[in-house]
Amino acid sequence: MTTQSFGKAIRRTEDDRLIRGRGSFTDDAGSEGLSLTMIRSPYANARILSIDVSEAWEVEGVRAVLTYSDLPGRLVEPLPLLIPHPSLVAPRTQYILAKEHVRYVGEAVVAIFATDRYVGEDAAERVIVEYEPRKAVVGIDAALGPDLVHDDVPGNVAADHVEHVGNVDQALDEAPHVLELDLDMERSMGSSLEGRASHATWDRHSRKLRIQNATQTPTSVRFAVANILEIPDEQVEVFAIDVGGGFGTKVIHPWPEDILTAWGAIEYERPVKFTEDRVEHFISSSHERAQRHQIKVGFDDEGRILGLDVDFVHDNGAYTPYGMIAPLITATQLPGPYKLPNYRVRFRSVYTNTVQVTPYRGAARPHAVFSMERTIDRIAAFLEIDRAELRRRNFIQPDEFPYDLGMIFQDGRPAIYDSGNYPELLEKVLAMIDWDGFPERRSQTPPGRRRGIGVACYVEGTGLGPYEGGHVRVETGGKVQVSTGLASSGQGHHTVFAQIVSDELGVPFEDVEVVTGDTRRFQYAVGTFASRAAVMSGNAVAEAARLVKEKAIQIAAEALEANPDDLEIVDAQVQVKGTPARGIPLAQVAVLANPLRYSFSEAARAATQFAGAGDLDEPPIKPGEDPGLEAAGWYSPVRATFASGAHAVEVEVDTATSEVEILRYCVVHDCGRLINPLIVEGQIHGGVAQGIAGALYEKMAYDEDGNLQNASFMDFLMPYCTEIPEVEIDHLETPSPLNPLGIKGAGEAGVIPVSAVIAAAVEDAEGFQINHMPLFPSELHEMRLMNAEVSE
Amino acid sequence: MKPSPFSYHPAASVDEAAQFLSELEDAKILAGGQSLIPLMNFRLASPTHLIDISGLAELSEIKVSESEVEIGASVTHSQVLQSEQVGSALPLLVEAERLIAHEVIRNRGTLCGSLAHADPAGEMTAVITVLNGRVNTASVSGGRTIEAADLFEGPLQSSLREDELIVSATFPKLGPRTVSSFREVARRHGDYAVAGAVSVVEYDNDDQVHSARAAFLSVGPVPTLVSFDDLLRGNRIEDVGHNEVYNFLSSQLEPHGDLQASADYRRHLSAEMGWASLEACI
Repeated sequence: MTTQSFGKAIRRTEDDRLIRGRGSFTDDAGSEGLSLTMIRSPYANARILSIDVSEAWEVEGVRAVLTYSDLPGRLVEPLPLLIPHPSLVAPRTQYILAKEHVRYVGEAVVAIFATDRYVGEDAAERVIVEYEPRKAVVGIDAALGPDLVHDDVPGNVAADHVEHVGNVDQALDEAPHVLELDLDMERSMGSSLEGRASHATWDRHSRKLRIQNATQTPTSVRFAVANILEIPDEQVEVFAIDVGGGFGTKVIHPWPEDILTAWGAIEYERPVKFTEDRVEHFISSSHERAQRHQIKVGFDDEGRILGLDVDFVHDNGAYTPYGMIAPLITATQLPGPYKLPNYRVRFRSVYTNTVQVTPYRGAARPHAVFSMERTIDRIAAFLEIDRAELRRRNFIQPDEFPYDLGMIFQDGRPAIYDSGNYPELLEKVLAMIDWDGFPERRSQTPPGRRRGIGVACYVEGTGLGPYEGGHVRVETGGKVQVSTGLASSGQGHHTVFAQIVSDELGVPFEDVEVVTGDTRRFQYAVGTFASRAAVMSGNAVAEAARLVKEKAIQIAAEALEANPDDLEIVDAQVQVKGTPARGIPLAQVAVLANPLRYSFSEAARAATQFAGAGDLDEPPIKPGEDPGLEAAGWYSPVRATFASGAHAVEVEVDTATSEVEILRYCVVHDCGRLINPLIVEGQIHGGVAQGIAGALYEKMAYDEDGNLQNASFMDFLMPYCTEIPEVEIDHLETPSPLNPLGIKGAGEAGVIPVSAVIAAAVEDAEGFQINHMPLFPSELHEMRLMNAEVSE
Repeated sequence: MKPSPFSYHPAASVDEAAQFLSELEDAKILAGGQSLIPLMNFRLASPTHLIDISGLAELSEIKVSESEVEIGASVTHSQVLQSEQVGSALPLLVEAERLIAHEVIRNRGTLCGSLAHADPAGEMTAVITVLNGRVNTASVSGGRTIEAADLFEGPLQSSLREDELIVSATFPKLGPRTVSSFREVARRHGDYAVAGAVSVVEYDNDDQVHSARAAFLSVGPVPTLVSFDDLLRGNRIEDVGHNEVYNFLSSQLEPHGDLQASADYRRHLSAEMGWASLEACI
């Protein structure tokens, strides 16, 4: 029997290469061409009065210095709005190079093409840009004030959106108890190890523009570049061989530098490379997470929620290339695993003179979960009911699926939970952390410490459409080639897709080779985001493998003169069920699948025209058949599948330093059937690490003029591994009924409830409310002093 | 994040390094480069010439005498940390080295380089201050000795002349009835400390404090030295206790606020670290 690999903790096949430094990242691509250096605005809000580039042209090694007025054709247009929405009343996207006005520190103003980045930066020092600074709009308060980011967008409101189910006003009026909460979160960012990067080469002989790009969406980069440069799609090839993390930032496209490298490669007939440096990543890619929520909740004496009214403001930065997806996710994911018969959410997405905001791993769910879980904890405190018990009383029950929230999700389709078991998730995580034993442990807290515990639950819409595809081909040498259009940025796609194909086709795992994110291999794809790759491409390659299997059995049936129904594929051999002696290797079936005139090997002779195979009254390729042992498969779900989880944490807070130490961090996670537990756990570890980062270490420290004061890893405190505790993980496997493999997404899960659960634990330790994340020792110290004053 | 053009001059000897320094305009000494190179990559520093002393054998020595430890200017933090000689002669140096950055930085960064860099958040600036150590310099006009108290003039400003380089740093060993301790709080392991204190306590024959002092990191433009003699002399630290030491320090320290700590929090934390380092000397 072929060993089943689905569900096994197989080590990642990509790691050997990556750990040995043999990855192939965009910056590794040739350095013989030109390097693109950008001059970026030092002002958050200013009119450009003049730009003098004359001295920069004089620097040896400079090929060109461009400003907006130098841009040709469609390069003068604003970059595309990727996702329009009816409630997005005033979308704005930036120009490739600023036209008259800059709206955040870091906005591209001048592009320099030079022999290398050193020369580019020397030349940049000689460009003189005269600005007329205006008052910067920084933070949500300022956005709601009189100053404008875009002169033609009144109130700085990009989007204003309301959704509701039931009758919230009535529910709140009639509720025995009503509480109000003000909750907010600050900005952070994905901080991928590799920044944005693009390397474009124009082959004037074959008239191909070849682009290696650090992107999560190669097919879409291709369409965007072809469209803006006004050349046929067919002339543009985009591939992302290895991408050093994306976390959502690299979904956004095209970046100004993507277009400029591509255009420059054609214009100057030399390869052009742009490699973002760390400062640029901080000030000119994307941020996320700044939101402020006002919540009103009505509930009965038992703590059952009767009505929830949420009004929040989302700071979308200076532009909205990704539309209003992030706040829309908060709105629809806020209910989590709880029944909200009456729920109304309104949000305004507002402009500020800061880096644009687009989804970052977790994608506005951390705020949603923070809002909901803080609300639950507050009700529990008010009624003096155990926090876990209060959750039990409000859960959607296992027999209530499919459960319709009555709202429209971010894929434009109804938000209907497909499956789950929230009570069991909670019970498992409570048992794991020994929730009931906490009072005893707390009584043994060492002097100088305060101990607290928290729990938080979440539901995450994953694996959304519209579609993905996959292609499987059995080569005559026996190797199985798999390709899918979405890119890998560290998720382990090469391993899990090989596992799926290996099982479906009946070949050893080692014989399957996977290529992702290369438009030369697979042209149709959406991209890697929204915890969708395994669900979408996983089911697509499974379908492709099934089609290949069917075809192999048909061909083998003729060769073996057997009934197709009696055949199976085991260990890469098509054979009569249970009779390995009557079989034919899959490699040979691949030979037979392609009728040949010319032989290229001993094995290929069997497929040539005088080999004597086949019915001479039929054409070698029958109507409706294709040559080759290969097939493309597609998966397009009717709607998203919903994963879920529960996290619990026990913390100790130092009474002298106000530092928070995580004693235990427990996760119970349900992403349906596990393809590879090792990879799922790795995703959870990474997610929890980014969650802890956002809860205790990271924020974007803008000053009132819109300068990012901590644009380096010295001042922006992305935690090291030394700051991240051991993460204990258990799984629940509730299959999704929506897809054949029964899987749900797992890429973002770890990060989602971390701010909520840490806030809960610190609140439990300190005895005062935590309504604001992240939580730094300095701020916790001030809060202690304030609360001590209040209680005196 | 690429530096401006500069010329690189590997020095063959201390004399040649001093010669380069006197002759070249706008020159900087390069030892481990762990502070200078990042500043150059950000173009916050753009020296025209770099004079590399990292390969000089004559600066690579660690000398331990009866009364002092002398560290040459090309000795890295890791070498100090791993030196058994230093560990037994002056354990405080090793304790401080453990708090400095991360292994990869310690493998290149030099102890003398961190003194020349004169960052008031640097552990070694506090150690040399509390120990009343000194640095020894060279220049074409001859070498001199600069006492720790005269070495630091402001953030990233030392009293070294432009034509002068540090060739070694000398730390006095502690006496038999003297105890030292370093305590600090950093936001992440290996970061510059938000607050920290290094204490040296000398006991008399009755195990009462004879003298005590501490140097504080990150509370002012230069390492801040505080004497506890009035508060502790003739007493035991535990009898004076946390609250009195805390209040005394709170009144002595005037730190600044920054992204990681408000001024109040840093004052509080510095006072707590002052107490913690004293308590560890009991």
